[in-house]
Amino acid sequence: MPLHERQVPDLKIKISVNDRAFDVEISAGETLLDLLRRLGFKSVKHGCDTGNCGACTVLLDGRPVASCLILAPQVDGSTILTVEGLAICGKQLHPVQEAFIETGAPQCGFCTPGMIMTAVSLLSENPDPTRDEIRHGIAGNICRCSGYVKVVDAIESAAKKLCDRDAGHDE
Amino acid sequence: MKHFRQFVVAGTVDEAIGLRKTVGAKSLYIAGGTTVVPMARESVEVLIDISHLGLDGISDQDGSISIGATTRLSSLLSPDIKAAVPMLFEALSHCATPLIRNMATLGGSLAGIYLPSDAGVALLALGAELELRGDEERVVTVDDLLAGGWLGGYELIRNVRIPKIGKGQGWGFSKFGRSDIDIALVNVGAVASVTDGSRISELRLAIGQSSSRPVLLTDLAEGTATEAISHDVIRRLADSASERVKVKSDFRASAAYRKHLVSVLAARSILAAAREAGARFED
Ligand SMILES: Cc1cc2nc3c(=O)[nH]c(=O)nc-3n(C[C@H](O)[C@H](O)[C@H](O)COP(=O)(O)OP(=O)(O)OC[C@H]3O[C@@H](n4cnc5c(N)ncnc54)[C@H](O)[C@@H]3O)c2cc1C
Ligand code: FES
Ligand code: FES
Repeated sequence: MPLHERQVPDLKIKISVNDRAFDVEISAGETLLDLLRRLGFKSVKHGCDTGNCGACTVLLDGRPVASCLILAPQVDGSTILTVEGLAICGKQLHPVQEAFIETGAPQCGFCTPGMIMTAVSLLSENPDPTRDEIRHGIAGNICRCSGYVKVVDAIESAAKKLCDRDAGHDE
Repeated sequence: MKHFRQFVVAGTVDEAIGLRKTVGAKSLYIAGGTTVVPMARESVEVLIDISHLGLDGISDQDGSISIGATTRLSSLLSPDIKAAVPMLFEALSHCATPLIRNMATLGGSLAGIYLPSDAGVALLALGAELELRGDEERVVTVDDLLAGGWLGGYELIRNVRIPKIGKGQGWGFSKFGRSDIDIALVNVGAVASVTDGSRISELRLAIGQSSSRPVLLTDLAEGTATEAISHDVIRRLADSASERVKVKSDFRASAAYRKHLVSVLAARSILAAAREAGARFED
């Protein structure tokens, strides 16, 4: 077969989403955003489609990325985490989710799943960020309801929750 | 859903180049995909993935740092790069968003130098060399590559070699866009050598702006080389840089506004570079 007619094997990829293994057929132009929504992960929002808004943020091998800028064939063999996979044992909300609720950070909620995924990654890399570091960390996640103050409050409060939890001080 | 029809994961550099040559204008290399995925023309049908060729990684040689083309921008925001190539670290800290930097590669960022790319303008000022592979291998400075009209048809950037700033040298980088993370309207990188703590003996000033390709000015300091550094000298250097840059008006900004920005950012970068190089002068 001439080189240029080769494709990714059958355009089939294997990925893990929220600890579930998927063996899926894809087309070359399908974005990771399209694929995740097709698989039922509707927390991953379709916003700008150009990498500017962050509504489609997921963790790819642990790092936050804009899934609208990634093609499905690029992620063969990868591990993906969306907000649906955050709750502990599928029941107890993650401390970042709890903090968002308690602080009233979501307004319409469209940006919230992406915001939360970025926050989870930020806090795993920097467990005690300053407000400025939080603002830089979420620079790729835009909220059109303009709720940044409460989002930063929520991430600060989540940092404290995670720290207490890890220190075993949680009730 | 995008319009691409085929996605090929290249196993070797030769295979990637061979494919690109065979398929021609209907194909593009894809590294991080952050430009290709949202921006590729409808005529591009075949993507050739170059991110599994082992072209990523950073090595510290004696006087220089070598960075593989598919190294992600986020991997370059490390304490090691901050220590070895602080201007690149500074440029990348304000380049796009964390989400983009986790996918975007240095090679992809350089390929798009005309944007103007923040990494590209920093590397132009620093005198970085690119190792390229097309029909043959060549090593060429960012400056010479720009002068020759940039990359050839299917040329692949393999590696970037960045000389470290020497003793008596300093750097400055500044950027202005609509927001901290937006593509720059103007960005300016400066590398200055200061003699006796009082004179700028050499100045490399790279100026990027979104209405034409980045330029490198290396002869600016000739006119002021015998003068003691002062805010007046820096002002004159910045103004003459701004006069030499060709700007246009478009929907983003007028030509006059761009000229003004070049002058302001050039002054900031030169001032920072001169201070960093040990210049002593009154405020
Ligand atoms: C929302 C957003 C904001 C941004 N803001 C900024 C900013 O503030 N500052 C800034 O500088 N940039 C900015 N960018 C641009 C970003 O830096 C580039 O998209 C990125 O660096 C491209 O790298 P990539 O690996 O994703 O390239 P790809 O998208 O994979 O490729 C881009 C181009 O480079 C070619 N290419 C890639 N690698 C190579 C190689 N090794 N050799 C030859 N050709 C190659 C490809 O064929 C393609 O034509 C922004 C982008 C987005 C989407
Ligand atoms: S939809 Fe992906 S960044 Fe906006
Ligand atoms: S809560 Fe509405 S966009 Fe953020």
